[in-house]
Amino acid sequence: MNQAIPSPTLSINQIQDQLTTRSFGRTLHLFSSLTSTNTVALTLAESGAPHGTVVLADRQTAGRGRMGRSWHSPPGRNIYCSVLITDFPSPDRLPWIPLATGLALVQALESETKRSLSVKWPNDVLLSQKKVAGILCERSVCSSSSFLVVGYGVNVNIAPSELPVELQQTATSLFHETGQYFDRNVLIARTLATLERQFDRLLGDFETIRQEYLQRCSTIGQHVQVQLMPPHSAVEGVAAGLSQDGALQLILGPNASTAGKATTFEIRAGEVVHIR
Amino acid sequence: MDSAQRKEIQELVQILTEQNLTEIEIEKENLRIRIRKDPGPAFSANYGQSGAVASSQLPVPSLVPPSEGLSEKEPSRLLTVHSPIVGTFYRAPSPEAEPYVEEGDIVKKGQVLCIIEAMKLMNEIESETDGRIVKILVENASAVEYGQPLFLIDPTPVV
Repeated sequence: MNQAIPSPTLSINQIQDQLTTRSFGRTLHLFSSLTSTNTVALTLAESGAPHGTVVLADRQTAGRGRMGRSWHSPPGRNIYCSVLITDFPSPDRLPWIPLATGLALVQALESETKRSLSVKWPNDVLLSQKKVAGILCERSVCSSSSFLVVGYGVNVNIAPSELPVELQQTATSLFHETGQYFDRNVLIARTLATLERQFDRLLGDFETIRQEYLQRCSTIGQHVQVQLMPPHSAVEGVAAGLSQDGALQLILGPNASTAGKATTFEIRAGEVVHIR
Repeated sequence: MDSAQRKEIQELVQILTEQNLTEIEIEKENLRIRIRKDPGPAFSANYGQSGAVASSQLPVPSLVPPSEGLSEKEPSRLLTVHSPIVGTFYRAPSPEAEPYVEEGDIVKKGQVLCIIEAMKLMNEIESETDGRIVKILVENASAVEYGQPLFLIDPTPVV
């Protein structure tokens, strides 16, 4: 199941040799096995770890996705990485953090694989319409301290047969799509570089993120269904654009409850399905 | 205070809340009532090195005396935790997990009360005070608006 593959093991030295960042990854903790890199990064944050601290694991025993969903995290194959953010953009740009992270992953993975990737709103990273990377951003909010952990997992060298059966139709890996093995050390350095660049832009040149995101977002222009949270139900329509805070603007379809009248609905939470 | 006056004050509080006002004052028949909502502490130190930022969407929960749902016994003691953002309110880290807090629980300052998810950013909302959860005002997994009351906390030290 976990036979050797022609790709180097993870190494702090090899990652840092490739780093082009100012702060992201300059403090780097690498573990052979962790419950979850996000959990450890949140703990480090509480003890005063610096901005840009990175936690990596070769394997996670309790890798997490949104709302307690698990993230398949076998050893030797993939990237499980968390970055601690203590320099925050202004409050109105905070909702863009997950979107900017998705964009950063797309850009880094495109440059390494020479393949075209896209982001499904808000931040699923897709290759050949299948999920190749996932993001979990967790922020601790109180008056005495506030910090954010940006966690991401990338399916790099895992074979399709190694994915759980229930994911095989919806998930993929860089190896599966390209037939090549990738050096995770290089990929980690590249993703940290694009991530730091996008966080710099969140603090300054914000309009560029918005434009680049819109170019790479495969949801825009699509007919989608969104399962909303109570008291709202599901809505269906065409994803027309993004609001100032990154919410998905949906023009409800002619079959919606407001028949015959174009109504725009802004989505900030909910499960988006591309219907086409 | 008779019940009519009490009802009148409750109606004023409701208007204050619905209209998002900070102060109402009326005077009639030798009675003057002024109701003022404390804007709460400004947690501007939270935004890291970017410093204080004025915004309509403060990213930290505001903790102010409640303007509704007052306890008859201890109206002045209860504090309301408001949602700092628009999003989805979750009482537990996952559907299978135990809720972070239940009504009646004693909480410590810094303890996580809930998660509000906005655009897949999971915001762990922490208690600003030691106290006891008197009331949870929102159903799990429901949409919440900016400033919506989430919890009533009694900050009185427990003996």
